Amino acid sequence: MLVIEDDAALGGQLVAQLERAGFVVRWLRDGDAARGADLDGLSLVVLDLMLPGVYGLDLLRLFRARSDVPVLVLTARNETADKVRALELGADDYVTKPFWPEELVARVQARLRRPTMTRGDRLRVGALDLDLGAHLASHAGVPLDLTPTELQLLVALARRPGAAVTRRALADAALDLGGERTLDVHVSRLRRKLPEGAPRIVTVWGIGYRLEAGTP
Amino acid sequence: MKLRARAALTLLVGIVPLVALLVWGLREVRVRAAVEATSEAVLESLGEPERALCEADPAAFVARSGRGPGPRLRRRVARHVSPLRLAVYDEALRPVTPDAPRLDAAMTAALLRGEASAARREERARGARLVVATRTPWGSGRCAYVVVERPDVRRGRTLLWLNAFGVALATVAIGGLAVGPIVRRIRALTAAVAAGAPLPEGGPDEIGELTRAFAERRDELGRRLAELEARDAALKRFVANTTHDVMLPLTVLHGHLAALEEAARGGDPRTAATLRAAQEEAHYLASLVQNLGVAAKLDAGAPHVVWHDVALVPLVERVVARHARLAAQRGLELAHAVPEAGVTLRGDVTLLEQAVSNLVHNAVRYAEPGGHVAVVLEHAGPERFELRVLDDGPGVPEALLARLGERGFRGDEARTRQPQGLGLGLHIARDVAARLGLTLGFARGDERGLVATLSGPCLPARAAG
Repeated sequence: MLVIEDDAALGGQLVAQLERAGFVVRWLRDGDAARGADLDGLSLVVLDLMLPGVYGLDLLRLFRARSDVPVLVLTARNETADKVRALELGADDYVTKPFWPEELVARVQARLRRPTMTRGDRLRVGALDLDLGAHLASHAGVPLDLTPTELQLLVALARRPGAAVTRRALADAALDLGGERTLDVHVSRLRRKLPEGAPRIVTVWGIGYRLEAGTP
Repeated sequence: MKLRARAALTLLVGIVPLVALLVWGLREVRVRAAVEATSEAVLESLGEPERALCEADPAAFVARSGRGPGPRLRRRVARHVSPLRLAVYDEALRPVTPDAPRLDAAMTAALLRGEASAARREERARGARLVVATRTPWGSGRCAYVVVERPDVRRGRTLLWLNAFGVALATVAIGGLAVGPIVRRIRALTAAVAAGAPLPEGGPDEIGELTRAFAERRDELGRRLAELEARDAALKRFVANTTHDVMLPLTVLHGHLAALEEAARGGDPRTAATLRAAQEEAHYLASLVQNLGVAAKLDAGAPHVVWHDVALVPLVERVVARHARLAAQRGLELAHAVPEAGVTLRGDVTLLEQAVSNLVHNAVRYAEPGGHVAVVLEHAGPERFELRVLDDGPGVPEALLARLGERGFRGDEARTRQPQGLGLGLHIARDVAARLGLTLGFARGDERGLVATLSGPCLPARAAG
């Protein structure tokens, strides 16, 4: 991962925060050095738009011409035109200063998150394996005895593990009749059928449910 | 009404009654002249022989031929007017000859008063008639009065009215010609003022004075506007630079505070509490600076709204990430849900993000420890979205709830930092919603707390990224 930041204090913090989150970080302090940066093998670039001597957007254009590496832009000027321009030039996302360390890390992780759908019609969350084509669910190789509604619910949750899914979305995905009122009954039965160590279905206040990867 | 039409109308309104009066006066004069001429002709043709003839045989006296004055009178009076009817009245004003024209009360009274002649007009189907009664020179006996009925003199009436109409038309035309150059100059002036072009040469008259006054005021306004624009540009630069200069150290401060909190974990609880408070203040300060920037943009008007496609899902994720630390410190669960398909709408990402951020910040600030805040983004139809920010905090009293959505409502509490205060944030959220054509509503939660709902049109779900 490459961080391009001219301010010594902020640059130091960014590097420390990202390293603590488990990334290997290289730090360049000025635009001239960044111009010739080697982008090969990088998973992401964090680029501060306010660099001395070079307009950050030019650097962005330069990077985009050479590589498809995701670029996360830091901006202190809270101007829409800047953000739109950055996104048009190929930036993947931006973070507006001031930000908390976890804010930046969350955006980096969101950008690097791999899509869950691994192969065609199969979903895997931890040891949970959902075969959409054959309508089968198994955990650690042991088949789960689920009704079609329960399987649909589990699929709807497993498509985005860790993300809360609204009751309405779950009802739309899995319930033909009864709507949201019978949702809790189905979820409660589904929970009982998930074995120890499998991903858990967590209630999210005000929203619905979320599938959390279980302990392996 | 245009100047030319107004001038024409004014002239018409002035001229028409004048012409009518003139026509009426002329006709009166001509009628009087005709009456006098008839009367004189009658008197001139009467002498002693005629008196004797009349007393002896009135019918022969008024006959169309013979020795009476009838033929002579006819020849004289009827040179211009014919046919003519003659009759004779006695001294008691009783008709003596058959088929005599009727005398009305006014004529009778005038003749009995001793006047030499009297006349009246009478409208008939075949044109108006004049009846002229003349006292004979002897004025007594059977032939005291000779009455002549003749056509009125109004043969030239149509011609008279045509003349009058012509005069009126000519006056209006001349008026229009006179107003023409004035109208053209005023139009040229209007066009120059509207286009911001150099003003036409004024000339020494009132329009010239108007032109010069315009030019002077325009120059002065231009100077003032240039001054204001320069000042505005300088101020904008200053604010932008200052914001930038403030945001960098504030980011570093955020980082230091976060690191300090981590280092102090498990240590003195007072240190931890102080650090939490410090982070809340830093968070509030950052939000305040952002809000002031947005408020300046909103106050500046429409040109400062940059319209483009805004992806709402990453926006919600950024906002939730921004307030995650504050929520965690307050012991709150801050969760969010977004649709898989994404939501894109036309708007201004900076304004919109600040509005949503303010709603979430508000919910996080007023929720109680152990409480919940949820941010839910959903499609509410094929081309509508709904973004709800829910909390299970104390909520807002019903009376205040109704006012939260009011545009322009900014009580004193907006500037205070009391827990009960509404803060600048909600007002900005409401103003942003109005500016972007979205709806922002507030309601009570199912059991307690507040639900803020931002909704509006979005691009069709399949097109959204």
